[in-house]
Amino acid sequence: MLEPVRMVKVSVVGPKEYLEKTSSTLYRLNGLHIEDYKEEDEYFRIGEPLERASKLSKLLVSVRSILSYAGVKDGYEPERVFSVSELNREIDVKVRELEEVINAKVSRIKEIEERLRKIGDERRALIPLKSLGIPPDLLTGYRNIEVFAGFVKSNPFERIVEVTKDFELFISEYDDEFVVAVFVKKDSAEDVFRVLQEFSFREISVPEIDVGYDERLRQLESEETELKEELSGLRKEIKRYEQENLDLLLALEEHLSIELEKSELPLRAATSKYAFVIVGYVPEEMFETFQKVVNEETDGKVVALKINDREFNPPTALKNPVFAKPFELLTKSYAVPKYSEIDPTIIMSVFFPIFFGFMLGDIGYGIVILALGLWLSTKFKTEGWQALLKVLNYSAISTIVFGFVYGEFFGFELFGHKTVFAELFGHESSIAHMFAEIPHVNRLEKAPAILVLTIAIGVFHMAMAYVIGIRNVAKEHGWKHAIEEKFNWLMALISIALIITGFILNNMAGKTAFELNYAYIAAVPFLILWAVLTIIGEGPMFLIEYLTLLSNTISYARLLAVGLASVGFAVAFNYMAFEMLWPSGPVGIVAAVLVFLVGHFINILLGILDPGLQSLRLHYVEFFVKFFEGGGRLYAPFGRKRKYTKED
Amino acid sequence: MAVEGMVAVGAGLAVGLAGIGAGLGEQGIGAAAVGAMAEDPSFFGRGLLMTVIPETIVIFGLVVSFLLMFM
Repeated sequence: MLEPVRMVKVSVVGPKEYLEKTSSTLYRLNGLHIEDYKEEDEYFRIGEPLERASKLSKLLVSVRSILSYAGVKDGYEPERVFSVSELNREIDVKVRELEEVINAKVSRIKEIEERLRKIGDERRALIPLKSLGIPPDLLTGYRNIEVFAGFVKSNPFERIVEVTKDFELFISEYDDEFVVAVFVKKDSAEDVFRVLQEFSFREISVPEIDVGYDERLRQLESEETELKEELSGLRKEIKRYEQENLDLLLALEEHLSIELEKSELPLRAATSKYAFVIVGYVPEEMFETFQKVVNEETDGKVVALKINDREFNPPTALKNPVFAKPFELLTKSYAVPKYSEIDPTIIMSVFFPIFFGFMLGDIGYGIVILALGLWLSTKFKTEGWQALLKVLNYSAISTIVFGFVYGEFFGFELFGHKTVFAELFGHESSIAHMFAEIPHVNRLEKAPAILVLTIAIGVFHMAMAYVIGIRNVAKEHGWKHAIEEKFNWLMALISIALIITGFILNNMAGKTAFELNYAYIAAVPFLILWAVLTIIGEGPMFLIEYLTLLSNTISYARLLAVGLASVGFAVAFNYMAFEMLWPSGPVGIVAAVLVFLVGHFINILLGILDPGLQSLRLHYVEFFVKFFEGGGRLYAPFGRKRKYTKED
Repeated sequence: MAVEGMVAVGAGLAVGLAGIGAGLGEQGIGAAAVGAMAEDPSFFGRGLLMTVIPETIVIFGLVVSFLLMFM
């Protein structure tokens, strides 16, 4: 539970002819995390993919390219699941059929798009030329005359005159530039071109047309409309065709990628002339079945053996009970635990919602967030979203529970002597009396006591972190290191707790802050122990870290602070709505409702974001840092769960 | 001005100034963290961690204001 899944290192050895069979078996078992074979030597080389791999990957590429038009929604559930044998039988035909239908349409689409581009180009040439007023057929087709038609920044007439006298120039304004058509003799064309370049000449390629500009533009327009209609028709057809064949396409994609993965297994194995070896990790609990199945399915020719290697670096497979599972997302976004480390997910799954609820603590807000979370989880089906929304739901439930503790409902006081009921029904009414008796903790009144409580929670939380830290370091580097690196800080934490206790005791007794008392004295041995161990283990420089730990401890005061801010907002909005606006007539009532709704909407959004982030931060910064190193590799077994296909 | 008034002003300053300080500290870290996340989304956890570190200062301010107001 606290540790990742225990693994054993195995090697799967057998004759090469059985590699294909073994590949299928391993894939179906879906349990072996394969270590890729890298160092080639005299006898063992990296294997060659099975023959069918190249054909499979070709088919897969076509299926994926067809599928890319369809756009599959996350969490799509197939209506029909295809069996592997059926797919195997018909795969060539099916893929070719799909390809023919789709490819014909796709190539037509490409043609149309190309033509549309050309139409656009021609129009961009025609419109400026039209403004010159020269018929298009007069702009081309001369034997001794060169025509330059294009854009220039300003009128080049003066400069052309300096080069040649035999020319004709037409110019008109177009946008911020000018369109020119310069007719010159071929002899002086080069010189004129150079001059034009000084005016940043951009040539327009004159389309060869035999009708007038307006007529041609009309032609283009009508052609364009036609093509666009055809284009959208084709796109719709493809879409419809894919919708109809979506399950088949998805099944093909899944089947082909599975087969491809299987046939590429040799690339990860070491192979000699006659044998193969695959090395990897299998969860300890499934090793026996693994061994048996591999052996049986290959007629006893392939064996799986446990090996005791010096190099034992298994992947991390997190193992947590169902309720803690969603929190793995939060753990992993910090780091993947090493195989030898404690997986803090389950601790987080208890404390994260508690911290969240402690901060927000409002029955009304809790219900709203819970409803929102449940609604969203029907909309967002991806794994990540589902996990995140479950975390939100747990947090919302915790918020409701703490709401009862604080007696708060949308910022109104529910329990106690100054409740909404007392306001509504009078202080002497039976309802007011009933709710006055319910035990609760008023956050605003009891703030100093809650502040002390938050610090105590912090000390407990961090002490837990150090205990785990001691275990982690002891396991990896031995007890000496554990005591010098983690145990000393546990001592420091206890001394901080005692000093803060002493401070509070003095305060309550009305003495000056640092007058000697029992708590201060009790802190001294812990301080000495900490100082000695730290100097031995980490060096005197690290004594300064005591301040960091102190600040970490005080950091837990945010459990109160964030909550007070949220209550403050809620109370302020309620005051604005019902004390200031409500009594001032009908308009005031409308305004009051608006202020109430908008105010609490904002506050709920902040109430999700801020307690969520702060709770996460307390785990990431104050908790994890003390024991969690991370850097593990996630367990990725060879195989997968089928969704669109089934084995026979 | 009465002593209580001065105490209240002091408590407000403790939180407010600490907040400004934390904000100034976080602006650079936040920008860098978002940049790093754009390169590698798995940086999110650590990015968040770095970004919120200066926030502790505000909590110090808050604790001081509490001590002023209630004790």
